Amino acid sequence: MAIFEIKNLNFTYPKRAEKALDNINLTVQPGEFVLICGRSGGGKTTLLSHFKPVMTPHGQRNGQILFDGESLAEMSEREQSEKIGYVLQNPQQQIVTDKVWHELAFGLENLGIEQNEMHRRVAETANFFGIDKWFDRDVNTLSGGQKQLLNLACIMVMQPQVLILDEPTSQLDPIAATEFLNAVYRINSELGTTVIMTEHRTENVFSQADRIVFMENGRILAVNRPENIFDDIRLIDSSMLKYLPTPMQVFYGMDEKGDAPVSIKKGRRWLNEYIKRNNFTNLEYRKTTSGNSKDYAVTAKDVWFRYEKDTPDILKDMNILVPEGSFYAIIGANGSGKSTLMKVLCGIGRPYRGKIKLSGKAAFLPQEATLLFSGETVMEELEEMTGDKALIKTAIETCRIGHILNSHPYDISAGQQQCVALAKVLLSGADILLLDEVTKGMDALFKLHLAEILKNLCSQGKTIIMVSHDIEFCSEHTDIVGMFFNGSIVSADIPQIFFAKNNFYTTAGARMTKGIMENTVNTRDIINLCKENLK
Amino acid sequence: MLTFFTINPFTAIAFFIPVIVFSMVFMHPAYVAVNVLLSFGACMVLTRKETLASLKFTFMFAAAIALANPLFNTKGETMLFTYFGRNYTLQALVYGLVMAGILVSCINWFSCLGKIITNDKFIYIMGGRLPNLCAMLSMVISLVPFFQTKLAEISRVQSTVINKDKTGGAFRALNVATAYAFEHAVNLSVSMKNRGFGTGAKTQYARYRIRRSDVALMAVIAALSAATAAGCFTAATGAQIIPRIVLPDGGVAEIIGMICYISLLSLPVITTVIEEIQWRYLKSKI
Repeated sequence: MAIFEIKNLNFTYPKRAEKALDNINLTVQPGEFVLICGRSGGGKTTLLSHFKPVMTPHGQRNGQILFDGESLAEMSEREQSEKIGYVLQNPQQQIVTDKVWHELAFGLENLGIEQNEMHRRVAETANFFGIDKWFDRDVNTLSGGQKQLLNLACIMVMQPQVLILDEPTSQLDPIAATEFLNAVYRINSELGTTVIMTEHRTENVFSQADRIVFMENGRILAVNRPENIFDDIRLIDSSMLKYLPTPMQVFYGMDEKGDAPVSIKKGRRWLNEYIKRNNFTNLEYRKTTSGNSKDYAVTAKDVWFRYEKDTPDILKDMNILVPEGSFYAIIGANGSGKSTLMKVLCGIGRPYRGKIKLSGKAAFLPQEATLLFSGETVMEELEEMTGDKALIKTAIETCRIGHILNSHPYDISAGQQQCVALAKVLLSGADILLLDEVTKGMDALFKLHLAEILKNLCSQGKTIIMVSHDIEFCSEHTDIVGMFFNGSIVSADIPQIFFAKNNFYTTAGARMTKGIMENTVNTRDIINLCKENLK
Repeated sequence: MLTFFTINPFTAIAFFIPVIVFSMVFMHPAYVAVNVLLSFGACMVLTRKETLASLKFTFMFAAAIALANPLFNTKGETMLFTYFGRNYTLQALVYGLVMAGILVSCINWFSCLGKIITNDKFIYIMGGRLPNLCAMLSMVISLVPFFQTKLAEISRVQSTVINKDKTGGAFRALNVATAYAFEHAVNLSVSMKNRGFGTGAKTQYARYRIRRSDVALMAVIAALSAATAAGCFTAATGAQIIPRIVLPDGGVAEIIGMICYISLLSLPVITTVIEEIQWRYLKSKI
């Protein structure tokens, strides 16, 4: 019997005309791994929330949802907490107590589990997730990745039959995200728990999923095996291609038919075969040359920085040259001091040795854009910055936020919040914009949208420095990529050369073509090179 | 092993309650002196680093109280000297010393208490009776440092974007933090509901068992406290200092009570020493 059966589900949020979910029919079998993809605001989260009634928002609903053959609506709250596990996006906002062990026990305490049973379950869960090493720590001392892993463990300790995950890795860096997803695969394959998940980072998840569900405007566009999911969609909406992993994007970009390669491994096999089949002659992609200006917006020379007299140096002999009007990305591991570098560049921290020269005013855009907001509407946020109507109008146009001016800044999507924050920063009169992980939690199409906004700003003479983990984004849209390691920028180059040289810290495109093609680091490069050969 | 760090929180609280009560009510200079000495001993084994760091401050504080008392209180039979026509008396000075001693020993015991009864132990002690209140407490304990760091981050972020001449920087930051906190609270309540909070009877995850050694230690503490109270409560609280120092004579009972009092206050040191000896012994056998 199916574990979930959704029949003709419709849902409308209060005071909205359009349906958030439109005639959804979906069956999930026990032990299945179902991945739900699609645009932000396409109804993925709304659909997920219907799998657990206590999580479902208010609104008008009709249709039927069966859990194990019985109506889900009639399930008691206690039974829901036991049988259906739900992990949300933001790691911090799910942590209730102050200690790791207490957090693990919290759900079991609520369910009134008996003492011995509780101890056993907490112990074995902590072991399974490798939490035993930080079992006694304060939750505030954990990193974001550890927090989210803890959240997952806290749900799994209740031994649910189904695990529902709503973009669980969107706030994590790539290494923490991989670790988290590996734990999810283990839960699915080793414990046989049914997993239903939404995720933007499809690159690794796709190959693990049994079935993919594509959603758009509250409707299900297609449901299929990962290898064939795009067969139906390509006819309806080809822009959805952006949500697929790199090997699949290349596969469909070359108009191939059949089972698409869902992983890097399969992608390499397909590419080799494709090259042989079409007798490619040229496997070296042309190098792009940098057209950067010779004037520098930021010049930092031999900068040393530490927080306290007796703490270790965070920046050591750091040098950076950022050309005016360029889009400069800084990548590097978590906790390596990238954020400190940003602080020092915008003048919040002062180096104890070395010189920093800025050509204009610098402003810092935090990861959590909400930290900048204090108004009731987006318009208020902008008006607080300046009284000049014309300036505000330009900022609105540049950041493309005209359609959300009357919304509350907390009610818009994370991506839109970043755009509003960007507009505020522009209105502060800054010429050098320091961005911290702006693409975090954005879907593929919104990233394109943001890239256009940022490039447009660069062409107007603004200089952008961005700290990011999103190497795919950096490879496609930035002018220079610098690697931050052990207190300084160890190498900086144009993205194509930078990522083609790297072996581990590089894009899926570069990994897919390593040793097969040269100088190809992203989908665009690979497809271009293939097309040149086919001519 | 039986140190104050590993005993059951109930045992620890059973020790600290009588000790702190005695520290507050015993006015007899000899008892205060013993208490100051032994409370420092306990601090040396339980909170050595913190106590040493604040030692200078503690002494200055105590000296200030002791020396200042005669300035406000001029009563007392034995005059040491006069200044601007006011008397500075021996009895008032002794009274000041006793006050300072009581204060110092209380501070010492409380710092030991704070070190031993951590937040999670406190919640364990309370949790059996008031699980919901304790869940709330636990949340508050985790949220306070979280919002402190957020507030710092907000004012830092705002300082680069918002022009300096705009009014009310700190107020703005607080305003933003409040909005952020509300948003956080809403999401947190969803997460609590998600994990079955308030769906029926709760149990409590007990991290600490009451072991045989705990029962033994609790019996010792109870016996010593009872003997102290019975033997020397009247003598220790009945001491008169002003205007004339009169120390009551409690006889043999008081001597026994005093010995029990000293033993009670020495428990943190004794348990630590016993553990140290056991370790040496175990090591020597290997």
